[in-house]
Amino acid sequence: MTVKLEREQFFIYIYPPWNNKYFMMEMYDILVVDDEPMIREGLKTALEIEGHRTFTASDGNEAIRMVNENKPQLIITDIIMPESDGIEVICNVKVNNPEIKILAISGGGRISAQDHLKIAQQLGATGIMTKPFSTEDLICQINKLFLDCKS
Amino acid sequence: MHKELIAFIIYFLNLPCLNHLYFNPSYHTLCALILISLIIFCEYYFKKFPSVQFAGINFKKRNIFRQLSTSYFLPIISIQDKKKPAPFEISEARIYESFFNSSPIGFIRTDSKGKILYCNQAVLNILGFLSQNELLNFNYFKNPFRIKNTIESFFKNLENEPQFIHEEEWLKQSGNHIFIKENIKSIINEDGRLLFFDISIENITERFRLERSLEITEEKYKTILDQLPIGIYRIISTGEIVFSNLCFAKLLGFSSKQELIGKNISEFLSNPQEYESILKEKSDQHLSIFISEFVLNKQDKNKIWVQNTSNIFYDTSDEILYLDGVIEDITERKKSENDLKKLVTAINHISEGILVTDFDGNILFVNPAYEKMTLFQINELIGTNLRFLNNNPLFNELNEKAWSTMLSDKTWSGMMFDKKKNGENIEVLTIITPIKDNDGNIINRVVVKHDVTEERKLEQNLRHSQKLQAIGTLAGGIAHDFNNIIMGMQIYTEILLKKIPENKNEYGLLQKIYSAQNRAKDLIKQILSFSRQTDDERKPLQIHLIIKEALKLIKTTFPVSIKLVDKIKDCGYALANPAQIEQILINLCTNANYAVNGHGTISVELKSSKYIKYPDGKIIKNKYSWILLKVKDTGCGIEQKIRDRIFEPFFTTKSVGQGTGLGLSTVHGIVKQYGGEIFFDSEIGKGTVFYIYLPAVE
Repeated sequence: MTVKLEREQFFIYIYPPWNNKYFMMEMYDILVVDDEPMIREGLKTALEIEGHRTFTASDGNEAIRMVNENKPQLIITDIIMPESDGIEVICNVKVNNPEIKILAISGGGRISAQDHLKIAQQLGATGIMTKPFSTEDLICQINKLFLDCKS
Repeated sequence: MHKELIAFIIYFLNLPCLNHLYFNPSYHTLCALILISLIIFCEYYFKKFPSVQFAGINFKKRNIFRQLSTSYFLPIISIQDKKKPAPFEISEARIYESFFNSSPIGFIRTDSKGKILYCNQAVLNILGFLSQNELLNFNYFKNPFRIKNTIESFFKNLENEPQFIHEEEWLKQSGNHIFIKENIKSIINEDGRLLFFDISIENITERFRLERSLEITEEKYKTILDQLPIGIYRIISTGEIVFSNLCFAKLLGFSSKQELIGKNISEFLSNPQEYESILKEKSDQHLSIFISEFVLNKQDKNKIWVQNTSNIFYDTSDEILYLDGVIEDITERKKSENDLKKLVTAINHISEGILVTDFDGNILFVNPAYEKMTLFQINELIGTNLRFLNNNPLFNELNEKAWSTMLSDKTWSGMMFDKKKNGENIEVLTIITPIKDNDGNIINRVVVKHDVTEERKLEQNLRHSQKLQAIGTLAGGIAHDFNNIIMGMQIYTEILLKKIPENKNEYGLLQKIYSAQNRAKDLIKQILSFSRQTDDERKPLQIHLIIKEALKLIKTTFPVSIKLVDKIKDCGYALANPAQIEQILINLCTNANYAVNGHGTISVELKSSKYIKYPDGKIIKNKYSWILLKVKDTGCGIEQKIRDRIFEPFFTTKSVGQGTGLGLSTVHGIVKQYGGEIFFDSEIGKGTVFYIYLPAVE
C-alpha cells in the first residue's frame, strides 16, 4: 500500500489495493477516547498530521460531553476504560447522535479484544480494530468507513 | 431197643416154650445167658431182615431189666400184631400226677366260692408256704397277697368270658414283691352251673424284671437318640422309613416320629432318581458306608441341605436289606459357605489390594488385585513378610509408627511405597487393621492397599494444567497493558518517521526502534495465543494443504544435512486458523531442528484417526474423528526431569536470548483452544515424537 502524503493540500490521494483509482479524502472532526494518555495524545497527533480536526476525552462521560459540544463525524473509542467505558459511549451515541460513526479499538484484557469488539459491533460500532495497530492501518480504516458509507 | 428185639424174636421164631416162660431165682443166671444169646441172635436177624418192623410189645412191667435183676420177672407177654401201641394207657394218671407235682407252674383247683381244693408244690413254692395245709385255709380269690382288686372284673364278666389271663404284682408273705401270671378258667357242667375254677399261676418276676430292665434300657437309648441333634433313621430297600429319631422327624418338619415312620423317603428327596442311582452304584460296588450331601424337601416345601452318612446292610444274596443312616442339617453351613463364597468372589474382584497376614506380618493371603498391582505372583508373595514389599527409604521410621499404632489394637493408615516386581515403586494408601480372636488377642492383620500412583499422576497433570492456565490468565492481563504501551510507542515512532527526512541518521535509528516494537508486538501476540485469547478467526480448513505449504517454507530454511520426510494425507477439514496451523508446525519443526543439531531425520506425518492413542497405550474413543499430526525427530530426546515443564511458557532449554520459551506453550495453547490433544513420547538419545490430535469437522 502506498500513501502519498501532500501536507499543504486539502485533499489526500490514496491508492488503495482494492481500487485502482485515486480518490479524494476529506478532513473530518474526530473524537479520540482512551484512558491511556500516550495513546490518546499519540493518535491525536497522528490524526492531526493527516489533517483531521481532533478532540480527545479520557473516559466515557467526558466523551459524551465532547460529542454534545463538538458534534464530531467520527469517534475512535477504547472499550475498556475506568468510570464509564466505551460500550456506554457507543450506546449513548447510537441513541442521541446516530449519524456519528464509531470506530471501536481494544487491546484485550480478561477476555480477548476480539470479543470486546464483537460486542461493540453488535451495539452499533461502525468499525473495529485491535490494538496495537499502526497509524497507516488506522487511516486506511477511517477512509474505508467513510467510503463504505458513501457507496 | 433190646427189649423190643427180644419180643420181636420171640414172636418171629414162634417158640411157645418161651411164650409163657417162668424163671425162678435159681434159674436167673441161665435166663440171663439165654437173653444175652438172644440179643446177639436178634441183632443178627435185625440186620438180616431190616424190613420186619411191625412188631409191637406190651409190657406188664415198666423195666424188665430191673425186675430181672431182682429175680422177679414177669413173663413177656404175647406180642400183639399192632402197628401203633398205646404206651401210656395204664400209667397216664401217674404221669399226670408227676407232671402236676413237678411242674414249675402252680396249679390250683378251687370250688365255685374260691376255696382251694388242691394245689401242687409249685404253688407253695411261689407263694412261700411250707405245707399245703397253710394254704388251704385261704379263699383263693380273697387271698392276702393280692394288692390290686383286678379279679372283680373277671367275676362280673363270667358268663361271657370263662377264661381270664392277666399279670399282676403280688405281695408275698415274706414281704417280697412278685409278679404273677394268673390264668383262671371256670369249669361249668351241663346245666350251666359253676363247678370249679382251674387256676394256673406262674412266677414271672424274673422275666418281668428282665423285661423292665430291657424296657428301661430301651427307653434310655430312645431318649438319647431323640435328644441327639442329628437325625438317625433306618430305611428298608423299598425306601420306607421304619425307624427315625425325633431329630430326623423334626428335620423334615414333623412334630413327632410316628408321623414320619411309614412314609417313603422319596417324598422328601428333591431328586429321587439321583439318590437311587447313587444307591445303585454303591450297591453294585458293594460298599456299605457312603457320605453324600443333598437337598431335602421338608413337609412344608422348604428346602434344607443335609449331609448324610449311610450304612447299607446286605443280605446273603447281596440285595439291600436296609439302610441305616445319620443325617445332619447343614443348611446354615451351606449358607455361610455361600456367604463366604460371595465374600471371596468380591475380594478376588475388587480393585484394591487385600492381604491377610499373621501377627508378625507374614503374608497368608493375597488377592489378585494386589498381584496385578505389584506384578508378583501370589505364590511368590505368600509366606514373605510385609517388609519385603515395602520399599520406602523412610521405612524404619514409618514402620515404628505403624507398628506402635498396630500394637495398640488400632487401625493404621498411611502412604507406603511398595516395590513392584520390575523394581518400580508404587505409592499405595495402606490401611492395616488387626483381627482379634474372642479373647482379644491379635491373630491376624488385614492390609488393604490402594494404588494411588495413577491418581498422583492425574493430580500432577491437573496441577500442571492449572499452572499453565494461571500463567495464561496472567499473561493475558499483562498483554492488555503491553498492547497499550507498545501502541503508544509505535504511534510516536511513526509520527517521527514521517517528520524526519529519510536521508538523516535519525531516520535509521528510528526504524530500528520501530522494528524492535514490532518484535514486541509479535511476542505479545504469542503470549495471547498461548493464553487462548487470540483474535484469529477459525474456519474449516484443509489442514493438509496448509501443512504442505508450510513444509515447503520450512525446507528452504533447514540445512541440507537434515532429512525432512513427509507423509501427508488428505484428512478432510478441521476448524482452524491457517496462521496458527503454520505456527504449530514451524514451532515443532524448529524444536526438532534444534534437537537433531544439524544431523538427522525429521518426519512430519498427517493422517486421520478414529481415536486418540496415548504413548502408554491408553486409547480414548468418542464421537469425534481426529486429524493426527505427528512430528518425529531422531534428536537428543527430552530429559526426564524437564518433561513436565516443556509446555510451560518462558521455559526454554536454549541459552538466554536464543529462545523465548513460548514456542511449545503457544502450540499447546492453540491445540487446547481447538479442543485437541497434544502429548509426546521421548527417549533420550533416540528422539522425540510429538502427537497433535485436532478434531475433524464434516
